[in-house]
Parts: sequence; structure tokens; C-alpha cells
Amino acid sequence: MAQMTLPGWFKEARGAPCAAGGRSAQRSFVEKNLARFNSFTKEVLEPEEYSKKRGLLQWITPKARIAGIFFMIAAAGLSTNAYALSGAVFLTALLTAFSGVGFSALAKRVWPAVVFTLVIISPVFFSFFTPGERLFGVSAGPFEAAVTREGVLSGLFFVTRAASMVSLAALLLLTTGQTEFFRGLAGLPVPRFFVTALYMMFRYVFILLKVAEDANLALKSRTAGRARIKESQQWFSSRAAMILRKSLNAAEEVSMAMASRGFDGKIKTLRGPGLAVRDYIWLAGALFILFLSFGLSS
Amino acid sequence: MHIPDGYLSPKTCAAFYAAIIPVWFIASKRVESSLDKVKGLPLLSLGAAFTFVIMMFNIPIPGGTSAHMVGTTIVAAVLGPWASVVALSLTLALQAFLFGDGGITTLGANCFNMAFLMSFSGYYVRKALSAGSPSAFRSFAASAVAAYAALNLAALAAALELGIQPVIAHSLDGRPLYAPYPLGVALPAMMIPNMVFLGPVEALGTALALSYILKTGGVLYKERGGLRHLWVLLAVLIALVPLGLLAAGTPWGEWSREEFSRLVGYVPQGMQSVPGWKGFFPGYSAPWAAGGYGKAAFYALSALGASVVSVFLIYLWGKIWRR
Repeated sequence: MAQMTLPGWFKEARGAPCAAGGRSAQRSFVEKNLARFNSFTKEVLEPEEYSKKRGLLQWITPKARIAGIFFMIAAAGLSTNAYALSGAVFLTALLTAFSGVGFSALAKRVWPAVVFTLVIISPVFFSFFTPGERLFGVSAGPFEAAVTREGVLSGLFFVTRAASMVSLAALLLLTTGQTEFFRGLAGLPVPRFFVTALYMMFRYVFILLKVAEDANLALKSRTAGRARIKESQQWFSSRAAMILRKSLNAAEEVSMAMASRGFDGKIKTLRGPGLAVRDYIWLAGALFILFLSFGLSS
Repeated sequence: MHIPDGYLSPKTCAAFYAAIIPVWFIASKRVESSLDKVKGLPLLSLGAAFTFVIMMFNIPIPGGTSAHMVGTTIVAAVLGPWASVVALSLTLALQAFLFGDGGITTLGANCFNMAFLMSFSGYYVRKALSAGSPSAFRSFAASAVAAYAALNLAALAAALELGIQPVIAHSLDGRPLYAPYPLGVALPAMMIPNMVFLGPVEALGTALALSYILKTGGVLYKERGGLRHLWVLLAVLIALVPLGLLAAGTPWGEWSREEFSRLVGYVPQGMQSVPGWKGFFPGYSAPWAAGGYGKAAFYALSALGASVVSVFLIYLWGKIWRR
């Protein structure tokens, strides 16, 4: 009996529901909320994949990794000439390649910031903002919109620097799991109170997001057509107040639970491992780049 | 309003970190004294988590579209302004570190605008407008005006920070090195959307949420001392304006003899007679490292030496701290 083979498209897992026929309606605010909550969860879970890989950045102790990347972000921020900026871009590319992070994964995190910066900066490319040598353009009577060489150089410099700083921050995020990140932050001279509060907040964001998601789903499931603006706004206010109440109640319960386990307001954490030789080399390299960038920019 | 990395010059970033660090310190001390020691930590964490979630919520507005709010005035009204500073700073830090929303180098400036300015202006404007025993309408209006004023004050601060960049950070040929738009462009570009569009959303969202909390028996934060703190805040605000650090050129009183001579036309005799310590390697150069390549190599060596010394100091600090 001949074996039946399923076509490739049949085996593809597709989570999204079938698209409705006809003209696609504008997404309601509830749908936008749900999409936003979804993308948030995806964004948080994705880095775990890269942080478990073997690579250069993953090899460095989290606290040294965080400090080193911060130094490099500062170095990129200081760059005011093409040499320093090219160095920052080259370094980011090297770190990305040696840490096993795909350039597409990095680009996915960086492109919104780059597009935003490009939009903000776009007038700089034109002669009405940056006069100079005309490259190309259009004119209609007295009005002229021409792209200038100086404008392109200024604009691209600004965008490249912003992109390299965002890329370094994204690289840190992609190569550092959440637990590692908070542990690393606690190892730096940041007050324990802030780090513990940041970690608790991070955990509770998910609980509150679940509450918000449930509220949105409940509204979506019982709404036919479009609700009136006033009704929707009243719904928002009641949900915002409800989430705030839940937060305050949860804070009360958490504080009682903490008190019952002996918490007296003083934060005591386990001391993490010290720095290894490779961490000192990494920090020396990062500081070298920072000082070099400082010198090149002054 | 989250200023990303690369938009503000390093000296602006440094100035705002210098301005916000004392605020964080005072805020954490005030929170410790005003909140229960055990309850303080979870309350702030959950307050911050609330702000984070509320920033993700879309509010329906006329025209079939939606916008989202910051929610600082809600947190300031419920937890008090100092706790709100801490909660909002935590939210902004998490957004910057884990989601790239707002920069790491600009975190100080973002916290100054959205955590400090918004919390205090929102709280005190609301308090001033709803003084006494306000009716439901006055309370609603006070919340709306406070949120509107707070958001626009923060937007104004962000616009000023961005708008002064071409003046304080430019290349020798006058090309802006950071945010390129002058105040004439940055102010309207930032203020018009906030005043016309986002401000009313913030006002409406805050007023609705706070009135709902009050209607359902919720209690807002009550501070002792009346409006006295408002005046203290204004004085602190004036003192914190980091103009000195943002100013371009050589800091006052740190002129070299050549600069001094250029400024006043001569070098005083007393100044001439003092040799003055110029460091081991003045201007990051050495007589034996001449020429373009030599100078560059010596500068690289200086940077290497400085980084080795810094790492050694980190190592020492680690050893002492471990004891």
C-alpha cells in the first residue's frame, strides 16, 4: 500500500485563527491591548534561548557583563567622529557574532528604534535644515526639497550612533537571562533595595498583565460590534482602578507572607561568585574602549 | 517621552544622573520613614508593576483610535509623591534595561522628567485644587488638571533637554552632534502633541481611575504639612537645574593661561610666577611620542594604563568589600 505523505503546509503549526473574509475592520482598543500583552510576553521569553547558548558574552560573569556593556554603551555615546563610531559598530558586530546571537534576532529588536530615529531625524537630510552640497531633490517654483551631502552625513551619523547603542543594550538583553540579569545587577554597586524591588516588580508585572488580559478577553467575548466611546472609557477606568486595588491587596498579602518568613525590612542576599580572570580582562577591554572613545571625542 | 540612547550628549546625561541620584536617595529614605518597613518593598514593587501595566493599556479616544497613558499622577495620589518617584523610576529602569524603551544613558533624564517632575507636580497640583472638602466634580477636575499639567511639564522638560543639544554639543563646524533640533523646533514638536492629544488622554484616564477609586471607598495618600512641601520642592527644583554642568566651554575658573589671556587680555603676575602641575603626560602626550601616529599610539597607551589602574581599583574594592 502506497504511503501517503502530507504536504509541508499542512504540517505547519499556525496559532492564528482563520482570517475573516471581506474588508478587514480597524482593530479595536481591546484587540490592540491583547496584541500588546502578547508581544510583551514573547519579547520577555525570547532572550532565554540565546542566554543558554555558549558564546563570548555568555562566558562572562553577569555582573562583569552588565558593567562592560554599560561602559561600551557610554563609549558609543561619546563617539563624535567617524573613526570612533566605526569602531563602535565593528565591536557590536564582533560581539554579536562571537556570542552566537543571530543578526536577524538583533535586528528585530533594534529596527523599531532605528526607524523611529530615522523618522525623527529625516528633516536633517534636507537643505532647508542642513544647507550644503546638493545631492538630489525636487523643486516646484520657489519651493525646493533637496537632500544635501552634509545633511546625509549628519543624519546617518546620528542614526548609526543611536543604532549601535541600542544594539549593545539589546545584545546584553539577548545574552542574559532574567534571573542572571537581576543577580548581576545585585552584584554591582546598586542599592539592594532597588534591585529587589525591580525583581519583585518584574515578577508582579506578569500577574497584573494576566489580570489585564483576562479583563480584555472578557470584554471582547461579550461585545458584539463596537462599544460607545463613553462606555469603553468607563470600562477602562474601572479596570485601571481594579488593577490598582489588586496591586495594593497583593502588596498587603506579600508583605504578610514576607513578615511570616522573618523579613524585618532589611534585605539580605546571597553573595554571588567573585570575578574570574576572564572578567577582569573583559572589564579592562571595555574600559580601554571607553577611555579611547573619550580621548577621540575630546 | 522616553528619550532613547544617543539623543542627549554625555554631559547632559551625566548632569541628569547627578541630579536624580540625590532624589532617589531622599525618596528611598522618605519611603522608609513613611511606609511600614515590611510593607514598603512589596507596595513599591506592585505600585511600579501597576504603572508598567497601565502604560500598556490603550484608552479609546474619539475617531476610532486609542492612546496610552503614563499613570504617574494616579500612583502619586495613591502612594504619595516620594513613593511614586521610586515606583516610576523602577518602571523606567525595567523598560530601559529589558525592553529598550528609553535609553540606559538617558535613564537619569527620563527619571527626572517622568518620575520626579511628574510625580511632584501631579500630586501637588491635585492637592492644591482639591483642598478642603471637594465635591465629586471638583475632585474629578483636580485630578484631570493635575495629570494634564504633570504630563506637559515632563514634556516641556524633555523638549528643553533635547532643544539645548545643538547649543551645548556641536562639532567645530557647528554641526549638532546629538539631538539636532533647536528649541524653536523641539518645543513645538514635543509640546503640541502632548497639549492637544496625549495630555487630554492622560487627564481623562487619571480622573476616571481616581474617581472610580474614591467612589468605591478607596483612600488616597494624605501628607502632613499642607502645601509647605510644594515650596520646598520649588526651591529644590531651582537648585537642581543643572545649567552649570550643561554649559559649553571651559568651566568657570578652570581656564588655562592662554584662555585667561584671551579672556581678559593679560595673565596676572602672580599666576605667571606659579609653575602649576600639568600632570606626568600633559595633553595625553609625551616628548618621545611625536607625530600623528606617535600621538595616537601614546593616547591608546594612556587609555590602556587608565583601564588597568581602574580594573586594579575594582579588584581592590572587591577584596575590601568581601571582608
